[in-house]
Amino acid sequence: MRKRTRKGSSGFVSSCVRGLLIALLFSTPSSAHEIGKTQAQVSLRDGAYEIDVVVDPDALLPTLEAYGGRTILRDLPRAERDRRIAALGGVFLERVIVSFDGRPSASAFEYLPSSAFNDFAQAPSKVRLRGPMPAGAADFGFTYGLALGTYALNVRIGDGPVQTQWVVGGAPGAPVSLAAPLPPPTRAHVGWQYFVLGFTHILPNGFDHVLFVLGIFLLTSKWRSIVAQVSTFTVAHSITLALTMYGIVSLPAKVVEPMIALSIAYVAIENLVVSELKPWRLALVFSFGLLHGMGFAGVLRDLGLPRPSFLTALVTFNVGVEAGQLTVIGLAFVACAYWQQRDRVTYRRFVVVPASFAIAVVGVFWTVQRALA
Amino acid sequence: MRRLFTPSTIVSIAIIAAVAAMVAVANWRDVRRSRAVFSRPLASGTRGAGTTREDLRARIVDVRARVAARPDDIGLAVTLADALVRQTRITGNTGLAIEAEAALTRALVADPSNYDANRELGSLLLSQHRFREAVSAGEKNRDARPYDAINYGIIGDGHLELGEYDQAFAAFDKMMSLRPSAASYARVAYARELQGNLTGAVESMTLAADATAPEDAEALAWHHAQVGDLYLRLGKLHEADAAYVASSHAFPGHPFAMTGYARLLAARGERSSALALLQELAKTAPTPDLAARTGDLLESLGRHDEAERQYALAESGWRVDAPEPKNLARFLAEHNRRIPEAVAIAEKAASERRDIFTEDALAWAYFKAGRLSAAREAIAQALRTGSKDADIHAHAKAIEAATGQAAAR
Repeated sequence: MRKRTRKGSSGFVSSCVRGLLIALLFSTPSSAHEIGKTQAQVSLRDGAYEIDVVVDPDALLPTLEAYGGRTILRDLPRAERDRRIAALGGVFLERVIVSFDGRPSASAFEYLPSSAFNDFAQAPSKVRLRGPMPAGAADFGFTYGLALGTYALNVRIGDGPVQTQWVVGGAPGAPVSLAAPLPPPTRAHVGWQYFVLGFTHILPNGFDHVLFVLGIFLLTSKWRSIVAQVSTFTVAHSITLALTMYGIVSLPAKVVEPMIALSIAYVAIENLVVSELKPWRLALVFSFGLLHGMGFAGVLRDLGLPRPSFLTALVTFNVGVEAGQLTVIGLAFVACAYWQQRDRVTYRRFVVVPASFAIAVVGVFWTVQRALA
Repeated sequence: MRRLFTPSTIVSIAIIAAVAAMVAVANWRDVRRSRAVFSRPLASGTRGAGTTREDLRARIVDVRARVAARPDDIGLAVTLADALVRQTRITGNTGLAIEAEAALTRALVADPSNYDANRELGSLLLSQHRFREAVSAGEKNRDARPYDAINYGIIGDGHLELGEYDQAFAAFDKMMSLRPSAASYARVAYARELQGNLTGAVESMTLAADATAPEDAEALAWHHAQVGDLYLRLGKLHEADAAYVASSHAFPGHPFAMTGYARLLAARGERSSALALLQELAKTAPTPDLAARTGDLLESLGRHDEAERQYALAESGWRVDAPEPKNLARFLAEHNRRIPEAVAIAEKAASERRDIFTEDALAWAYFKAGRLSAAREAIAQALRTGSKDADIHAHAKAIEAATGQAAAR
């Protein structure tokens, strides 16, 4: 009976996995097992490596004893178990290979048992391997020959990002290039980079913002009125850009984007019915500025902000946006200077009205399009 | 006419034309961008996407680099996920499913309703044992495209793993009626096997192999290996041998063919050769299952200490490296180790899924714990599909005999 059931264990597993494996064909699943708990965290810096392998000591001891050809001892007291694991460092190092340029490196073995409770998830035991990196090494390799499944290999070079790969126990992980990571950009470099991003977000990429600014410009030819509106708009969008980027306020894009389009339509339509700066116009421009700030934040989030230079990037992006808006107004001044100097009626009739009408149509179209998207 | 083309009207028209041009350019650019991110997904095993070991490796390297450069390209993400899933079957690297899911999730941000990506995601949920989620995803995709047979496959696979066989078999029937294909035939074969119709299972699995495109070397090898396994269960060793040879011919060194061939050698009494084959396989793709099989062979050869070491590796592996509660529970019960723990593990597994193999593991753990009444209930559930699985029947027989003895006392 005993023999028969043992033989049968293979059939059992085979049947269990078949259902899942059939499904692999034509975009379907693959495996009958979940991901294992073993992880190797590798840190390579200052000419040395340190590797922490997260282990379950109750599983590690019999594994080391099995590979070491020893008698398997079970249910040992914790202290005895940990003592035995620490003594089996030689077996561990036979199965776990650290290499540079394909040549194995001699590692120092240290077992760090979980200190408090036997809670693998919260206080994991670790095996730490340490050693020097050979001068001029071009790549790092790691083979963990103690796992009967997949484990996560996380490699970090200096302060660079963590590179994760999933590796099958016993198989070598893909070599990790040790080419020096690019030096972190200077604050000035980040500032310039985000200034350009802010500028180009208006010119040439931000047609909706350009039309809004033109709507502001077209209301009146008095430069003081234009400055008042632009300043109000700037203050407002700076507030929401900062608040949104710091996660204090947030509105979904599907609300913000149609509202931005609506703001464009509004200023253009108002240009058709009034020709002087009214107080409510400033209040509305401020409100619209708040919305546009959230729109800028959406773009900035997509671009990503470098964590070490978050504030620099945020401020310079905003300055870039301002520079873009001022450029639009400057260009509009130049384009309309002749007509503005002739007489107000002609300017309004042949520039303000048709341009505002066109902007209004576009604004309404975008509002509907974005609302339905 | 002259009055119409005054400088003033020309400026007005120019402004309107400029605004219109700006809008046109903006929209054209958006359209171009949205088109640019859609590569055509390339399914493994179709023309231009071979599945030899080298084909898969090269395609993964290539598509990984392209996905890194264009993470929002859904077509590329689907192609990568599909190739990674197929690679998992050869290497046993279950972490590749996580990489595949991450690529799909990233790409879906730009187009959450993309059908191809959602369909692939349903498959990945299955591979991560998230069966209930997989069924839901499959049903959602089925509602989107009721005539895509694959969705019924995903729904059926999910129900099957949860032990909901009526729903599973109904889904497979629907899949088959929509599109007879290698994937459908293979599912029908498994359904027949579960219902105890091994001869019918061989017929369907052979049809699956015949329906597999020659470009899909890996799938061809897998189907032949399955045919070999079924013949082995029927005791037709010669036919099984031929099927494993066909599998190895299509894809040299396919792990399923190698494992199956080792079983065939053991069945012929060539246990040392079988052992050598398994040990060779363990060098490149070690699994707890392989360690347990190796232990069984060593035990049968009288090499008890070595067998014990392999069992220790299998147990550690099922605990830590490739967690599979029902396998672990059954293994512990089989080897009379930590029976209360085996019962607890099996009960927890059975609270999540009621497939016949989990029920069998639960029954055997109860039996070893001396809980005969509970064992009888569980083994009755394990027998409910009519499966002729030799282990389930051996367990049922032992439980019945013990119950009879207990009643006699």
